[in-house]
Amino acid sequence: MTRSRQRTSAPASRRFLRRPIRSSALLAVAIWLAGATLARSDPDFGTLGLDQTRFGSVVSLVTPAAGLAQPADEFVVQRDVLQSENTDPGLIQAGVYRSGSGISLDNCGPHAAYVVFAEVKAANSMAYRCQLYNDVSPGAVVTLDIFRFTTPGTWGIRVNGAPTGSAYRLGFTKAAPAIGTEIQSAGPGNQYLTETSTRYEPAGHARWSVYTTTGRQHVRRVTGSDSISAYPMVDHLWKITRPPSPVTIKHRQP
Amino acid sequence: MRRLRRILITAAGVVLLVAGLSAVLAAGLFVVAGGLGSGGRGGSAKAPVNVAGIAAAVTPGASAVLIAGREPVAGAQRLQVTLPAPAITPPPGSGPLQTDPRTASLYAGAGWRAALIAGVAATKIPRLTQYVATDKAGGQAAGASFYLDGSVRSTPGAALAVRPMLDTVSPASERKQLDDNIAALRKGLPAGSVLRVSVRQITVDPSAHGMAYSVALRVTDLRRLRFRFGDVFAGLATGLAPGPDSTVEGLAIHVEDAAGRSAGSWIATRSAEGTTVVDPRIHLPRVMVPHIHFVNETGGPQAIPSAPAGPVK
Repeated sequence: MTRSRQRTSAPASRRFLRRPIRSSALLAVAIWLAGATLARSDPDFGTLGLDQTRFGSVVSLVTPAAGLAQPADEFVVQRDVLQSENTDPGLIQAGVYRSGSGISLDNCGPHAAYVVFAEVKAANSMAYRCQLYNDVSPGAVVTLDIFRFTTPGTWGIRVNGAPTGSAYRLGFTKAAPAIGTEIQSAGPGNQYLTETSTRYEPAGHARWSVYTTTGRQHVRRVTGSDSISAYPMVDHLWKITRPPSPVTIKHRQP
Repeated sequence: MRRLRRILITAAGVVLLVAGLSAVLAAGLFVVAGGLGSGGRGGSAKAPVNVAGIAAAVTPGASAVLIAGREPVAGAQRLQVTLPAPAITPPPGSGPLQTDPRTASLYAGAGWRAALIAGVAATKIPRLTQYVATDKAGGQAAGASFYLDGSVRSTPGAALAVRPMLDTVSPASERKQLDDNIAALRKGLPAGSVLRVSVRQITVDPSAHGMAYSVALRVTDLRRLRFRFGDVFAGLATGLAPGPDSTVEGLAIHVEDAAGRSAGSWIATRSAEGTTVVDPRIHLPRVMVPHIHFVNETGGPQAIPSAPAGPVK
């Protein structure tokens, strides 16, 4: 997928260079140049860059290992962590990811499309399970519900409102965290906040949605200790549904 | 003359009767053939699917029945896979699954077999959403449901993940790919690292190519190979699994060293599941990168770097 994308983007890039510079393009580039760049270093996994752009944010992931430098559209979109305050987490991470040729998420395998996934760890054990759910078609809206059942210490996941099976009901030996309502937006601005839901009280409940048409992401922080981080993917999803724009290509350049 | 006419009429009647019987017999054979044929791709949803036969093909002595789904979803069905004792019961002296990776690995393998069975069954049973593996008594050890229960689709009738490469490669070619991967691994790892390799070939779906492979490696010291896990797990799976371009129904890789340390990966293609069990004494790198060049012969998945299981820090 990476190679094909690069092939399709190259002519557009040349067109951009030949095209008369218009004010909108200048504005876009100016915004891009002035955009804040957030970098998060991870000694093992690499550096995660978050560039604010006119369309949202662009993530680039560069790992220290040889051959792992990935273009911005080949990365784990949202390898999020929903980790409890317990030392032994139940649900490790869940979200939407894409990894066409760059990196594989554990043994879920590489995937050439955006997919919903979840990875969980058995309480007090050394085992992890990873599962891909459904592909995320361009234009589709995917909603993940991650919640604790009222039964102490069991997690559940729903994809688009449907339960995903029993594999992710895990034994938890410690008390569930209190419900929190703090909401954070991952994208620029806070215009896409989701509603608070306490449907699964007294369980903690996290929900976010991924709108593949626009790339909006909603992120909710459940409690002070449970956190979900998200890396917006606006431009990447634009690439799915629309031809690459000059601005998008500009972002690719270091 | 009248007598001759009577004989002719009788003969015609016999011919008609024989023809009728033949037609009935042929129709019956057609129905039987159709029923057997439903074991293949695109079988009629109305014909009962021989789930017990699928289970027995994957694991001799195993059986399976369809039961109501656990979740309150209308029409959802669950496959209860009953496995023989050696496949689901830890041997005497084994530690609890929370602390003994060999016990956890045994359950991971049992759940993997159930996932293989359910994956094939799900291609024929649109309402099948979940599976559960139990022992002959219908029970599970405490905490084992994590390994033994799973899902193949989220809702009844939902399409299974597309796996266009499945059934396109002959079992002989798959096996050659695996054998070549093993040879490349043995050659690429430090000399003497691999003591023994054994491969078990599992016919998951006799009506198609439908194979899965279970690879067991015995190594000298697993800790010394921790930076080579990209070769051991991703490299060994080259051209076979995981992901949408998988060519096999499943692949299990279990590595154990002389000190009893072990690490394993169990991948079930159709259910898009993977289970990893890693001995806590082995600390994995954050990114597992293959160093050896594995030749992709089947056109299936490449050996690529992998982000190992666990939380992102």
